[in-house]
Amino acid sequence: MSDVEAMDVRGACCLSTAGVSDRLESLSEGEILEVVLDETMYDALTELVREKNCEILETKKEDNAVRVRLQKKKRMLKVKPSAGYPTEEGSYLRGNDFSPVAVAVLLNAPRPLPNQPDTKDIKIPPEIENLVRVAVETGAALAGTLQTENIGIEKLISNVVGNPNIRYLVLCGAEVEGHKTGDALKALLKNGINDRRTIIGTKAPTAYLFNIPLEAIERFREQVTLIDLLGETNPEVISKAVWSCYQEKPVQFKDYTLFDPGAYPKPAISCRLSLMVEHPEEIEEWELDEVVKKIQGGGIVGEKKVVEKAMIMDEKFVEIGKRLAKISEELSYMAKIFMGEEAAVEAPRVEVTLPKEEALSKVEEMEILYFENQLRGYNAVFATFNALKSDMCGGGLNLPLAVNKAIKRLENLRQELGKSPMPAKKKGEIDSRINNFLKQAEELPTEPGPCQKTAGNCKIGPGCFANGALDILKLITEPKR
Amino acid sequence: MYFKNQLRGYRVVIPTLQALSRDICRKCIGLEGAKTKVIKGLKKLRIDLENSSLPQGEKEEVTTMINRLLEMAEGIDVTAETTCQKTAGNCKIGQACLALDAAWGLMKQITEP
Repeated sequence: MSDVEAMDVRGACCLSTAGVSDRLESLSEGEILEVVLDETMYDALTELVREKNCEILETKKEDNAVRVRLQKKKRMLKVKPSAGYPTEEGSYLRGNDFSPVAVAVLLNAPRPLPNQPDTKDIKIPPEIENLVRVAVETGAALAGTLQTENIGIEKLISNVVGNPNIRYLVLCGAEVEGHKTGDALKALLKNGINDRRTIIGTKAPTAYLFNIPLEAIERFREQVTLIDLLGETNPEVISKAVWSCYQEKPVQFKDYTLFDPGAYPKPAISCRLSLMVEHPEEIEEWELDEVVKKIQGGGIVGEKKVVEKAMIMDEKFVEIGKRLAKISEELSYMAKIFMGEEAAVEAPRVEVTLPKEEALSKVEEMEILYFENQLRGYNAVFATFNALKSDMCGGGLNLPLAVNKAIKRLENLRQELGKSPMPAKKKGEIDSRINNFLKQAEELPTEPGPCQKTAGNCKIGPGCFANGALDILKLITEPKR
Repeated sequence: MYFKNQLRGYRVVIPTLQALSRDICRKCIGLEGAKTKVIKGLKKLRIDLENSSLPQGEKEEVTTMINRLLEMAEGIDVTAETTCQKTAGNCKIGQACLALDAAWGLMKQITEP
């Protein structure tokens, strides 16, 4: 304690007259002062400390005196986000830019499509929407859904590094089936990426970050601490996590000690996705070297022109004096506005157009849809059968069996058609298509021969192409009957 | 055996995708993706073949077959601009995607060697 300035004010009647008040006023940030005072003056000192924006570090009792070590409170540094922040579009809400926390809610969309990197056209379940709203209303800077392990994460990175105030990333929601996006994000923060721009140590199938500068990825990893709530869908828990992140004094949340540490001490990075590789999910593992080489060389990938966008660095530091919690009311209002916009841009539903001359009832429409969907399946099944005919399957056991099953099912479908209430004209059309498939079946083998596996000819494993062909029909699940 | 089995799979998958290209799938991003995967798969097979220890004569034979299949795959008719037909409200078969799931369901039958 010898290097620290000490003020012994024992016996003083008042802290102001003893000079403590002025000294606290002139104390510079980080400078430590030790005050020795009578025990009876301690309460007055704590009041003064609060008034002068200082904080007590240590208190020691000595006989009838108290030795208090204190310092000026460090001003919490907050910065203005980069110009254009958040740079990437997506399904998210923007809250208080000075909040230290962003929330990513994992989204399981109906099915992962190969060329659908964002969630613009996907209906977000209300419970997920609610989590996003709760996070922003509680005080998150950004809260949104995250679906893909490549472009989804890249967009998240791009938006987070544009705001150095964001120091925590809360990851919640059920893991995205197929994509394993939660696992990918955790692995990214823990391990980073390798020289093939692949996230290290993840189970995600195509965790490639091709479209974002390496600098942004590294910054993201340094800037944020992950609050891992993978699998958590309880809004109260998410809300508590967000709240904990912006507390001035450390609070315990699960295994984390959380508080607002202030902005990351480097300027915001403003970047947008280059989209050099628009469909990373299509990239095969063996193509990676070539793709990375082309990215580095600024070449083209898959005939898609490179649009490298310059990174803009932005440095504008400002201070904020108000506590984040006090503006929750405003946040709530903002959230409502944003939610309103979200609803407004929802993709319009397109209904199947049907011939106008006949006004169809809902039942008739569903009937037609059922038969058309079934025939859509047979279209693929018969194409497969025809291809298998010229393979060894033509003289085998399972192709004829599968063909016979398909014939039976088509005959059954025709019987169902007979009972269907759909208009006669449409019925005739569908009947004609069923007949067409049945005619095709006449050209296919229907007499079972020896199993080609048993005969030692087919060595593909336990699978069977003919059975696989028939399984195509199982993909048609709607409308149910 | 490996190459023969793979080629058997593609010989079945490509006509299936061709059949789908005559349906609404022609405008579908799912078929476009399946087509791309087939083309890439065949190109990869060709690279693997080049690096394999097969006798030159057999290599040439398999290469010819791969090239023929590649030609067929590239000929699968997909519109220049594709969009998910479910999102567009045209495909109402349920959760599955005929192009992707049918094609890869068939390729997945091959597990050996």
